[in-house]
Amino acid sequence: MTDTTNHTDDSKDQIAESIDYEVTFDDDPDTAIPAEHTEITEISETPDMSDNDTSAQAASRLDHEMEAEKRDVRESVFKSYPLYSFQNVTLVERKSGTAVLDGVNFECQAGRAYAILVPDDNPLMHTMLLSVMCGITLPSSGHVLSKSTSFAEMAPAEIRGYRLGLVMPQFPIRADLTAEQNLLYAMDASNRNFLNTKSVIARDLLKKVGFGTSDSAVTSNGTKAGKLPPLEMMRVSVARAISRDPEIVIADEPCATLSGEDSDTMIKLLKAQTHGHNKSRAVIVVTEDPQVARKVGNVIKL
Amino acid sequence: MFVLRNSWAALGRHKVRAVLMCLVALLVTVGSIYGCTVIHQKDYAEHQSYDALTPAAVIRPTAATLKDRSASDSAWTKHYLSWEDYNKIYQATASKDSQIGYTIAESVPVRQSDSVKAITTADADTNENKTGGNLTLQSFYTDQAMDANEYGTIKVVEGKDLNFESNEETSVLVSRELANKNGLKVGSEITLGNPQKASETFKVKVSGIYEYTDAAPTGFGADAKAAKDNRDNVLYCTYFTFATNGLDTTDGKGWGIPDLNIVFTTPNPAGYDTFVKELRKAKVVPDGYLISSPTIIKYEKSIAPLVASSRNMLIMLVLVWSIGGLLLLIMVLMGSCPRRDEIGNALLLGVTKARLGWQFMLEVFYPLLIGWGLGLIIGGTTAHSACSALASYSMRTNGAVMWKVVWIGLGFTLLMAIIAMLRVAFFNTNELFVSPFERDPLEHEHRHEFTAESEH
Repeated sequence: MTDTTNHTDDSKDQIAESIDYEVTFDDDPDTAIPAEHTEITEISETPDMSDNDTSAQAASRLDHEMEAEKRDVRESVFKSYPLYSFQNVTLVERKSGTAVLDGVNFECQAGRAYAILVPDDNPLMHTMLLSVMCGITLPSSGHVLSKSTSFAEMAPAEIRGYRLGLVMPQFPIRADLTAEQNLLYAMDASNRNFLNTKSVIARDLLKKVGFGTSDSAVTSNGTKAGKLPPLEMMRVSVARAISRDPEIVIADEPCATLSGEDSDTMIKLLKAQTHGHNKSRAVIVVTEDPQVARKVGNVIKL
Repeated sequence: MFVLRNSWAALGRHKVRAVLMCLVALLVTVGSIYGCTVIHQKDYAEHQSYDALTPAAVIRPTAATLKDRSASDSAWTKHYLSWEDYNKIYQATASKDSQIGYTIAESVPVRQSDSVKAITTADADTNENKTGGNLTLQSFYTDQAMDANEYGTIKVVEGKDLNFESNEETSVLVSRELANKNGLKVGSEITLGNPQKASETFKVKVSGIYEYTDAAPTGFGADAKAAKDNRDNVLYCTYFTFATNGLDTTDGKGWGIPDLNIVFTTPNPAGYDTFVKELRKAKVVPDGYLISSPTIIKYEKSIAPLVASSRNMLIMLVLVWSIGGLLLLIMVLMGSCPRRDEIGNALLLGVTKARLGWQFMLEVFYPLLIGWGLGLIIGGTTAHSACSALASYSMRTNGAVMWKVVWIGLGFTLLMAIIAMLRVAFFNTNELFVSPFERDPLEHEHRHEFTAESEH
């Protein structure tokens, strides 16, 4: 079932082994595995000790134990707590008994962008996958985990309030609010405290995602979001998704309404969100378009 | 705070609708208070107040009998009921109901003199030899008999009312019109002539001047066929004054025969009904006579505007509740149904349906409760005067009506809020992820049926 291609190093092999679905890694330095993760495989050698030097032996043993301890901690963190993972997730339609999702496994690490490529002839799978990924629907069996915590143990306000940032084509933003109001609404909905004034954060985020750069006519607090051009609308949607500083950003078909150039801009924008102000995020793009998946990289085929 | 802030912001985005909702709620509340106050007052008047009456019962000639009456022919006096007739009537009922009492009203025509001249009209017969006199002396034995006065209800505007306890002086009440015509004042002495013998006169003192508080019955006002029947020519006195001057006679002739009216007193309306039933059963009331209760007739007349107004108020209430309710329902639906975009976005941002539902409910609560509260204050403070003016009837302030409106208002507001909240409750969360670029894959009968999963 596992088919890993384009491997670039051993550490990638290790990661790929834990994924049951096809995963393709890219060599983009922005999305490559962080050095601290790759280090884990280098601390696997047995220490070299001299039989005649007991003090040296003791020191060496202590060093060895300490190194081993560090390694265990790092490995356990790396292996047990991916930022976001599916563990044998199955979703069965009750009447027909059909498995819409059947034993799906994948893991997503911080600081990387992933593309989940869903078949274009199975819209039900696409829809229900997103529903399960966002914690709206709980799986029939298996777990959706954020680090080590299952979504089943979390409140919706926690999952979608600040763990996940969502960019969905059905409800990208509220059309009746301005761009800034959309961000303020999202921040208020999280019930969290912010270190700076929310409106300052909102304006800053809109600036960071390049809002208004492609069309000077639109303003963050004057134009209703429903009247924004598609790319500007998606910029606001991305800004809204990261406004609560989530660890995971999930975007569904982010390029569906965009032209080729805008599509590239959008993918770059999403991939840029893997490294936030003070944290690394996992950005997951769900798409039926292989070209979009390829541009995002780290493709997980379902 | 999120819920409070967003519900208030949502109202701010639709100010006109919010103000309209507030206004409709206010009008419906005020209308409900007015309508319920009048209807409640009418029910009270028709039941509690009516049951508290102590009806007087009289036996009077029917309209058909009165049609043959001639004010200038003393032969009509044969139609007067005698003491014997009344004795039979009383015997028929007193044995069945010990609470039946009686009192007396008696009258004769009296002749005018230089000291007092009757009010006359061109059509009225003023020949005292034919009519027995141009004035009428009407006596009462008690207050209750006076209450059953067939000429109407009087109010003493000058001097003293009749004193039924005193046997010291003979005095009368004269009408304002008669007093003005003759220059009479309280304390004036007037001379009246016996209806049977013009030469026999007697003097009485004017103890008070009265005015009628109701309209004249047909044939007893300016349309009277004889001056003595014009109620402004009626002098009221106590039975003592009447008898002292020899008018309560059993051997009188012609117009000298007193028109005796025994006024029966019953303890309550049910007692009156039983009284009527017993008399009909005993068949002691002569043909051409009718049993009636001036008390009940007067009372029903007094509440007639209230009854008519309550009918109008009932129609008004139906219209106010149906139109107002419909308008509010439409505005609540307009405020909740087209918000798919907002609900979807909120759910994606981790807002639960419960929080969002509460927000939608608050958006209904604010305008409706403000309108309803203002309506209660305005309606509660103005109901007494407004309803009294609308129904031409003095209203009682009623706490039960206010409480009824309070509970109905709260119940309706809650219902509207629940309807708004249902928009959120019925939002299908699976729609959140249905791609807008292709056909809805969940559009089939198994829409929600996935094993073990639940909405989260």
